[in-house]
Amino acid sequence: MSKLDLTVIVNGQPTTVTAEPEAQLGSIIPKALEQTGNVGQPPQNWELRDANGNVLDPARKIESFGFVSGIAIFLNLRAGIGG
Amino acid sequence: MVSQYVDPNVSAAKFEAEIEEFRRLETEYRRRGWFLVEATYPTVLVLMAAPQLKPPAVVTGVRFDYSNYDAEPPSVRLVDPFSGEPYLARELPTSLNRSVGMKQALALPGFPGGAVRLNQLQPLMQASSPDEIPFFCIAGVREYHEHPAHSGDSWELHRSSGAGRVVRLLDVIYRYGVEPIRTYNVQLVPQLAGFNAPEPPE
Repeated sequence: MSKLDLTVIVNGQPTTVTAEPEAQLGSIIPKALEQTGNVGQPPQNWELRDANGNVLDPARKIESFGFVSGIAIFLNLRAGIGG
Repeated sequence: MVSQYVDPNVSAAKFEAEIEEFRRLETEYRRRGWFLVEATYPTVLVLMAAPQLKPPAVVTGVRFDYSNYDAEPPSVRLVDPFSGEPYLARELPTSLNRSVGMKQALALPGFPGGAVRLNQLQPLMQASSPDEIPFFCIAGVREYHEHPAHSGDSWELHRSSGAGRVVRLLDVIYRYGVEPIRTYNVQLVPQLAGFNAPEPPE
């Protein structure tokens, strides 16, 4: 299966990540963070969601989501510890 | 009013970049109920609506102050969408409750084990009294980093992660304050107004 271009919106900033369909979705997180210069927090502190706000499981294979090339997914920093 | 000590051109350029990125995805954000109604450096005002409600409701306004960004994080206040005045703690339409820890099962007579659970909540909007303007208590917010209880978690530890970016902060407010809303909370208070005897005997 050919590679997919995913548009990852990192805290509002779009970047394109090319990914292998057989790879886990979480594998795109470090690359998206590096491309957008978001280097201050480790990948596990970030969360992927689709356009409808559904949380995407980073452990699932990318091909299992049925993404088409160019689809936008959202990568946002978790709330962290508050209070 | 915060004094601007960072070169205003630098802060304003970073501010404009934030707004430009928001505008590029504005259609997407509007679907979630986010309306950017003011963006004049250093202030951003976004109204957050709940489109999942019928009829939809404007839940809150969110006002950012990006003075000295990003040497300092933005100030974030939940404000009345119509007047722009910051809510007092007792007026908040949402406390941005997050569920923390394990849901504790309660053993109550008449209920099967585990049927009743106590859900521990932590409000992300914090204040020491109901008459105080509450602050948004997460890293990336000026009021959080200025609070003496958070002196060990400085802004510099979060600055490079985008923690103070407008979309990131809106996303947290949306996730805890707007997205969980399912229905209106309607309270009906019946009052006894005497007896009803519609057909008195002749």
